[in-house]
Amino acid sequence: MKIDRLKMGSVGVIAPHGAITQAESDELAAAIETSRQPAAGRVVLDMSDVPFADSRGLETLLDFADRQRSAGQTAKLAGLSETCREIMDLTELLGDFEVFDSVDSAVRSFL
Amino acid sequence: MKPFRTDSNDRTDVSPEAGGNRLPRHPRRADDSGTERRFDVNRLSTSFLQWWNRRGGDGSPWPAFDQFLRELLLDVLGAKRARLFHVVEGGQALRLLADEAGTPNTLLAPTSLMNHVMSVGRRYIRGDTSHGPLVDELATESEKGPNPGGQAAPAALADRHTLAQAEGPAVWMFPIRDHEAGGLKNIEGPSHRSIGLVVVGDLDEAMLADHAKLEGFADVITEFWLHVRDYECLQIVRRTDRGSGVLNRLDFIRMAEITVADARREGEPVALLAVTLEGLRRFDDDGWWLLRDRVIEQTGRVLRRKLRTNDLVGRFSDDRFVILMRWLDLSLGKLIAARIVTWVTEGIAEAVRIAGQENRSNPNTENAAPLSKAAGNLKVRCGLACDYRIDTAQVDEYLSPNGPLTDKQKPLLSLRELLRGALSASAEARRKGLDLCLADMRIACGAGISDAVEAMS
Repeated sequence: MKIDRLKMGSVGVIAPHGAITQAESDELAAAIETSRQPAAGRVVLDMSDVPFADSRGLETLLDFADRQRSAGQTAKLAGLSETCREIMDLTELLGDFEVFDSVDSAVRSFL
Repeated sequence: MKPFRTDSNDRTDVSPEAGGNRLPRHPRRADDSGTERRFDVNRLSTSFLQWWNRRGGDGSPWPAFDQFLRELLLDVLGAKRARLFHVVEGGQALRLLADEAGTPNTLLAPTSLMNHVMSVGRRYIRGDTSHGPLVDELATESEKGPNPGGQAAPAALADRHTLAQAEGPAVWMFPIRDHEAGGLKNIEGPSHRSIGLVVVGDLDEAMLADHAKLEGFADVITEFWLHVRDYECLQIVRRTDRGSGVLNRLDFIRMAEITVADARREGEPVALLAVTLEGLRRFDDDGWWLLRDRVIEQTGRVLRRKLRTNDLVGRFSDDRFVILMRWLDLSLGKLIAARIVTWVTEGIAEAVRIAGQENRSNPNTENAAPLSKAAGNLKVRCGLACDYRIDTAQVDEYLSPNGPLTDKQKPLLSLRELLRGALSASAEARRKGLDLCLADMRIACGAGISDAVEAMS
């Protein structure tokens, strides 16, 4: 799985490309953790190129939300596809995240 | 005998003896826009009928209709840069006719010209002095567009955004109003609503000045639009089970075949859930037909409302529904199935409440006590089968676009196998008195598949 890591000011942006499934979950979790630490939890997950996430993928996202909560931050997702949004809605996980239309607006929310 | 001619109309008015029309003809006047308009209607109707007869397939008629209308606008009026929209989200947004599924809806700004035309229902023609100051102001803002700094009034930005920057401002715009063209204008009154919007960006000045012709053309387009809309409604009714509002078995299978094939091509997981309402058949024997109908109706309603846009829901038999869900592995499938059991159970409780009220209001029927007893015997049983065998090592190989799939690459489950697995699992759930059973994937998948192992455990 290709995962881009960007820095927008003091905010880290992680952009996975492709579905988040069992095979990719560990890699994504590691990328999130790597970006979280230097940015002091100021991290945005850019989901605009994620077509879907399976159960393991959703667990990874939930784990991200838990870690952010522990650090006094909220987990921010940007550019959720309709498929991802619907499954997160169906499984009642959307409430654990702040969801933004674009990375820019998610990054601006830290200001 | 020589043909009889009127003073000015020389084309069709011949005497009856010559085989002509007996009806008296009105002489055509140069300024008779009505005559011109009727001529256009005939021509346009013929074009529409020819297109309609050529049109093939059971898919959505809208993209083809979009193409047809834009060609018609160009041929008849010389209108260019036409955009046709469906009004969606309760009038809050627009979606291009040409792209039913792909393009995201565009939200309408409340102060935009497009929104004004759509909500008021009045047609806009650039240069028409009768619009009034509000429309003139909105149109002026829209025509200005954003300045080089990117600043502009919200209305201008909204209209330009909707039409795309390169399209320029609209010169002619009219809404498609429900019922208006069907002769119900005077009956329906203010309850009309806009279901579509036609926006033209380029039209000859002479044509823009011919308001009667544009009005006539808009009327005809509205007729065509409503015809296509009614046809689409009939298509939906034909595909739909009357009792529950979900797909009937034949169309569920037809659409599920396509969905499963798509999922395989993309290497994506797909899950099939069979929901059985155990005890429903006894309602017939006991004479609880009303309750039975309400339970079916509520179950269909709950499934349609709660599930995702892309999930396929069908009624497979009297007491059995099937749901095909993409992008769900077994674990996620189990979670969703558990929720569906809860939702359907709540739906049944609601059905019992409604049937109880109807029952009480009818003095000729029995009292409500046995009704709740009958409903108490109704159980929701689910069977789940998943096609999720593509593991990490196979993904790249499987997704390779070159050449046919090898046996190793082919997934083993077909829709038929998924159905068989889910239905037999729901039967097993009934036998064991469980809410949910998983299909024994060993039969379909073979050994070594992690999900199959999980299913067996």
